[in-house]
Amino acid sequence: MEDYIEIKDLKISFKSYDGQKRVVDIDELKIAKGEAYGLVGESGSGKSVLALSLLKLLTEPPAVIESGSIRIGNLNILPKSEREMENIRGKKIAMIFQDPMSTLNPVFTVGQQIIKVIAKNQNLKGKQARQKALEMIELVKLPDAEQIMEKYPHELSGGQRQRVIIAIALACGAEFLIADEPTRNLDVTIQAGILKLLAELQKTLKVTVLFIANNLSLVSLTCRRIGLLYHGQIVEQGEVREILDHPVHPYTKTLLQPLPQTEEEKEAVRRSLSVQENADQGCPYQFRCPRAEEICKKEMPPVHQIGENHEVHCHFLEEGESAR
Amino acid sequence: MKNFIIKRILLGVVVLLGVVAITFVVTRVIPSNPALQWVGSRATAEQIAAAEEELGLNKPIPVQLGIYLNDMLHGDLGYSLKSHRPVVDEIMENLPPTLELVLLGTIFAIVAGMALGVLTASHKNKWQDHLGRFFSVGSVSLPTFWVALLLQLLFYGVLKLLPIGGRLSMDAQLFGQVPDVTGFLLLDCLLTGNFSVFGDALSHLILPCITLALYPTGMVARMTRSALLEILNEDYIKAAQSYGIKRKIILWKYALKNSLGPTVTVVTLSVGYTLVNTFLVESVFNWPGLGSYISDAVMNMDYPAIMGVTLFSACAYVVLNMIADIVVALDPRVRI
Amino acid sequence: MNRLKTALKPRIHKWRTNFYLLRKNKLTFLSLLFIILLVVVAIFAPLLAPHPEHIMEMTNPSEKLLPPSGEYWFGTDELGRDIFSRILYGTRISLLASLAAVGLAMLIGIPLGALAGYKGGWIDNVIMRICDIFLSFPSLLLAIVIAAFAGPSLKNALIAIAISWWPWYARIVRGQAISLKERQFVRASRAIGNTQGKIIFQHIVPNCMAPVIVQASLDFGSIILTLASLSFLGLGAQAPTPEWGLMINTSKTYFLNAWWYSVFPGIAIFLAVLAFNLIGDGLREIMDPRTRNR
Repeated sequence: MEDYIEIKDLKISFKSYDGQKRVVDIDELKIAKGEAYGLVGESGSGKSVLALSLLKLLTEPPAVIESGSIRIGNLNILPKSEREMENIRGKKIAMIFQDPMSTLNPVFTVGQQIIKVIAKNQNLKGKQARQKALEMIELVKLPDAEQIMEKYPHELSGGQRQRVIIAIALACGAEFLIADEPTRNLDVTIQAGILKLLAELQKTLKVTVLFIANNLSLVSLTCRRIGLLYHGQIVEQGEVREILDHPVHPYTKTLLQPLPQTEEEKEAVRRSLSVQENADQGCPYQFRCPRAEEICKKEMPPVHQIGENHEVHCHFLEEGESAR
Repeated sequence: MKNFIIKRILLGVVVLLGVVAITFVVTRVIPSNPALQWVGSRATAEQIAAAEEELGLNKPIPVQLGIYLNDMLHGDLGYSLKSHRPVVDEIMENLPPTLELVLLGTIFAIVAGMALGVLTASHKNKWQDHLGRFFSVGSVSLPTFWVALLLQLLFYGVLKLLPIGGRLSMDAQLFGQVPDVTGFLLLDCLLTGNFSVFGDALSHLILPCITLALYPTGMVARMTRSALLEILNEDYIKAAQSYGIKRKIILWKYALKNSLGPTVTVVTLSVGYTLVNTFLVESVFNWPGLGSYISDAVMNMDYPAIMGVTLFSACAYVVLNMIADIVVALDPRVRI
Repeated sequence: MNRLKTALKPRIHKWRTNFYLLRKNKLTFLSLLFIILLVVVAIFAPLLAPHPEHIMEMTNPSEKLLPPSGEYWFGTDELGRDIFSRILYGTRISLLASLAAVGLAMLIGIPLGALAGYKGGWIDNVIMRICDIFLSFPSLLLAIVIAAFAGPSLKNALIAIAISWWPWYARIVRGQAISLKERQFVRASRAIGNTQGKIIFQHIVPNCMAPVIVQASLDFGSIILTLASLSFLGLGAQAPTPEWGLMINTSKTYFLNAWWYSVFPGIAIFLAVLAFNLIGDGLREIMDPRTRNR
C-alpha cells in the first residue's frame, strides 16, 4: 500500500529563557491511506505538539521547527504559507481535540458552529448546509439532532460534546483525521462509546486516522498499527497484535505491566518516575530504563527490524527476539 | 442563577441606600451651616429659619435621615436656589440632551474601541500594537475639558468646519421649526423628516461627542485587546483554525464575540465616567444639558441642584451596573 | 548547598527577568525619567522659573496675552503673567496636592483596612460594605459634591479626593492583614500580651505598605487628573494660584485669540498623567505573568 503520510527527520524544539528544549525528534513515520495509526505516549512526550505540527498550528515562537519534512498526500506541509494552510486545514486534514470542555466555542450554538464549518469547507449554504449539519449530528449517533443544533455547548454533557466535536471534524470532509486523545477527559463508560464510534466511522468513511492516546488499550481497539513515543522519539512501532503479544522495548513492557502489587514493584516505579531529565546524548529512556548500561548514555540505539512489521530502538534485544 | 439575580438586586438596593446616606452626610453634616447653604448666602434670617424648619435641622440626625429618604422616594429633591423651581423638573428637562451625547459617545466608543482592540491584538508587538496601546493609555490620560477646547480651536478657530457650541445654530432655531417629540433632537428630526435641522444638529454634536468618546474608546480598546489575547489562546480557537476557518473570521466573528462579556462591563463602567465628564465638557460646548446645569449650579453655589444631579447620576450609575451584571450573567452569548 | 542554590535560582531569575522587562519596555523607562524630571522641577520651581514674580498676583497689562516669544516661552495670560513660569510652579502644586490627597486617603484607608482584616467578623463586614458603596460612585462625582459642599478651595478639593479614594487602599490592606494575622510574629506578639492597637500599628500596617505604595503610584495619574478637573470646575485651587486646571478654566474666555494660554497648561496635565499611567501600564505588564509572553 502507498504511504499517505510521511514524516521524515522532524525535529521540533521549544524556546524558553533557559534555552531550547527538544520535544519532538522523529526519524520516520509513515501511515498508509485508509489506515488507522495509533501513537501512544505519556503526557509530555510530544504527542500533541506533533499533531499540531501536522496542521502547522504550532505557535512559533516559542515552538521552533528545526528540520524535517511532512508530506500528506501530495502536499508538502512545512513550506506552505498561512493562507495556503487555511485551504488545506479542514478540507484535507481535520483534528479532534482532547478536551471536549474547551474545544467548543461557548458563545455559539452547536448548529452555528457546524454550519460555519460546512459553509467553509463544502461550499453549501442555507438549507443545504443545515441539512448536512443534521446529517452529521445523526452520523455521530446523537438523538434529537434538531434540538442539539439549538443548544449551547454548556447545555450538553461531556460525551455529547465530544460527539459534536467529532461531527464538526467530520463535517470538514477531510480525508485525514487526527484524533488527539479524544477520550481523555471523559468517564470510562463514555470512553468506550466514543472509541466504538470512531472505529466504525473510520471504516465506513474510509478516512486515514492518526489516533493519539496515553494508553495502549485505547489504541488497540481502533488501530492496526501503533507507535510508542518517549520524549519525542519513537521507541517501538509495529502491528498492534505483534506489540501487545511480544513487546520488546523496556518502555513498552512497563506500559503493559499490570499495576504494581508488591512493595518492591512500587518502589521500582517510584524510582523510575523520579527522574525526569532530558537526555542530551544517547537513548532517551536511559534514566528510567532498568537495564541501562554505559552504551545507552553515549550512543543512540540502533533500529532493529524484528519481523516484517515491527521495529524497535534499543541496544539490547532479548535472546531470540532478533531471530523472529 | 435566580439566586444570583436576587442577590444582585438586593446588593443594588443596599448600595442605593448607602449612596443616599453618603450624600446626606455630605450635605447635612460636613457644612458648618447647612441651612445657609440651602437658601444661599444672601438669604434673610427668616428664610434661614424656614430652611432649618424645612430641612428638620433641629431634629436628631436619624430622624433627619428618615425625612430625607422619604423625600427622595417621593422624587422630592428640593428647589433650585436660582430658579426656585423643583430640581427634579429641571433635571428631567436637561436630561435628554445629555443622554443624547452620552449614548452617541458610547456607541462611537464601542465601535472604535473594539476595532482598535482587534487591530492591536492581531498585530501583537508590532508597530500597530504599540501605537494603539499608546493611544489607549493616552486617551485615558487626557483632560477632557482641555480636549474640548483644543477641538474647538482646531475645527472652529482654524478650519472653520464645525460650530463652536450650542445644540443648534441661530438660523435653525429661528426658522427651522425645531421638532420636539422625545427631546432627543436627532431622533425627533428623523421622526418628523426634518433633514435640514438634522444636519445642523449633527454638526453641533460631533465635537462634544468625540471629546466624550475619547476616554471610553481607550478603555474599550484596552479591554478588548487583553480579552482577545486571552481568548486567542483558547482551545476552541485552535480548533476553529484546524477546521480551516480563516483568521479574519476567527478574529472578527469568533473571538470578538467571546470578548463581549468583559467589554459589556467596561462599557457600563465608562458610561458612568462619560456622564460625569459631561459635567466638564458641556459647559465648554455650551450644550444645554445636565452637565451645564451642574457647572452653573457649582458656579452659583446652588446646593439643592448640585445635590439633585449627583444623586440622580449616582443612582443611574448603580442601576446601570446592576443591569449589566445581570445581563452578563444571563446571556450565554456574552458569558465566558 | 546545592539545594540552597536550586531554591534561590527561580528568585534571582525572576528579578533578572523583571529588570530585563523594564529595560525592554522603553516607554515605561522614559516615563520614569520624565517623572524624575517633574519632581526636580517641582522642587526647584522658583529657581527655574524665568519670571518668578509672575507666579501669584501681579498685573502687567501692557504685556497681556502675548504669543510665545524668546522672553515668554509659552506666552502671557490676561494679566500679562508668564505662562511658562506659572506652569513650572503648577508642577509643585499638582504633585504636592496629589501627594497630600493620596497620603490622606492612605491615612483613612490603611487603619480601616487593617482593622477590618485583623478583627474580621461584623467589623470587617461593615467596613467592607461601606467601601463597596463608595466604590459604586464614579470617584469624580463624589469628589465634586464633597468639594462643593465643603466650600471651594484646594484644601477641600484634596480632602474630597481622599474621601472618594480611601476604599481602594482599605481593600488592599484588608487582604494583606488577613494573611498576616496568621503569621508567626503576629501570633508571638499576641502571646506576649501586646494590645490589639499595638499589634495593628506595629506589625500589620508596616507589612502592608509595599502593595499600598505600588497601588498609590498607579493611582497618581488619575488623582492629578481629578484635581485638575475639580479646579477646572472652580471647586479646587482658587485664583491666583497657578494650578493647571484653573489656568485652563480662566483661559476659556481668551483661547480663540490666545491659543497658547489653553494649550500649554493642558499639555502639562496630559504629560504628567500620561507618564504615571504608562508606568502603571508597564508595571501591570511586568507583574502579570499571563501577559508577559504576549
